[in-house]
Amino acid sequence: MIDIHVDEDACNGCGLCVKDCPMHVYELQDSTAVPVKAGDCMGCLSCHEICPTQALEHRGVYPSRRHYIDLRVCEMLKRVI
Amino acid sequence: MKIAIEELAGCSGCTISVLDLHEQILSLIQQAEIVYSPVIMDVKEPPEGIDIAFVTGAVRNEENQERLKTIRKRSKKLVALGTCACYGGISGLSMLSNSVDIFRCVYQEVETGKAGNPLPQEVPSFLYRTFAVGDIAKVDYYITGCPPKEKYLQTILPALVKGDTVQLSKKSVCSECDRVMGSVDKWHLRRRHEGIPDREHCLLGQGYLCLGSVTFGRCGAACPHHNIPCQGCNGPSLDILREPCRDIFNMMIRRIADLTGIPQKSLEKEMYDVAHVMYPYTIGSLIMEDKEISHIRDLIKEGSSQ
Repeated sequence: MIDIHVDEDACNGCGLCVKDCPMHVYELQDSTAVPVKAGDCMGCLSCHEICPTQALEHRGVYPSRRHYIDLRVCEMLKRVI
Repeated sequence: MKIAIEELAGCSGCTISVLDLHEQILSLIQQAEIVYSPVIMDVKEPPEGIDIAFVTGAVRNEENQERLKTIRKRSKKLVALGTCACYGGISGLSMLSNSVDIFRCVYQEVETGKAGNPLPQEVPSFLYRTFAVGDIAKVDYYITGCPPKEKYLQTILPALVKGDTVQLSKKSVCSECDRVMGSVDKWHLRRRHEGIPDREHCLLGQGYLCLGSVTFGRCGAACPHHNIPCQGCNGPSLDILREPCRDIFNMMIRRIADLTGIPQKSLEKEMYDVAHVMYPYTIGSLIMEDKEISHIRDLIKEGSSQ
């Protein structure tokens, strides 16, 4: 089961996740994204990519191993305070 | 505990932001002695045995490179302080022209210069490109921001000195912005001087190229708060940095396309002055340039061949 968590303070109600989700998981309620059909989520994480505020968190989704990693980027990511 | 602040190609604003700790700096210097900082004290060379060295500014000329090497050797931990040190910052924009043109402009062509003024011969020469500090030296921590805001430095600096870790938000500028998305029915691209933006609604939704969604936060969305579109001065958001297929330019285009329904190709054609609008603070970063989809390489090539 995928648990979708929306950071309501961060979300600015742009509605991009509502438009972008192939399974129509989200709805806008009072200018905040609400995952009304979280059970339909197939874990593509397309909403993560489009969300301008990085307000979304999916628990229970494990993206497949990447084909490409840049070690310098990984090193830098670890060290950003 | 000895700390040092080194200046490379930058404006010294990051050092001033350390001074902006105000009275809190007194408790900081009780725990750590500032042994070297060309902006705030008169010591010419960094001493040996520095515990934490903060480096501000990018590496643009041979002197910067030497100074960086020296301070790296003499310090246990090196912290890249500010966007220039982390991503090259605006010094990187100098790659859009060559050194002869830059000197000619600065010494002869500006209002205060004269046509016959001699060009400097004995200044350190430019490297072939701008580097972020992390591109040529091992960096232990990165603190972005142009300059890093004192509100966060108040948390970060005492923790660094004590050796503690801090948990701060690592989201984008949009997550700190109080605007809401308005109607995007008649969306068209607007330059900054066109009209006065509506204070309630998203600037990108109004047609202004606000980089908030692709920019690391920590500024409290100060510019959008004052009706000015974000220029990206905190460097790229961490999802842009992390993912190889995401870049500032392509994610801006994708978001506008998804928001408005305008095809990506026609939006790309509409974009103007991409170097100054999209990459003013990241053009000097090798890490950002090395992304396959980055436009930085082409921009530098175009700019320096003119």
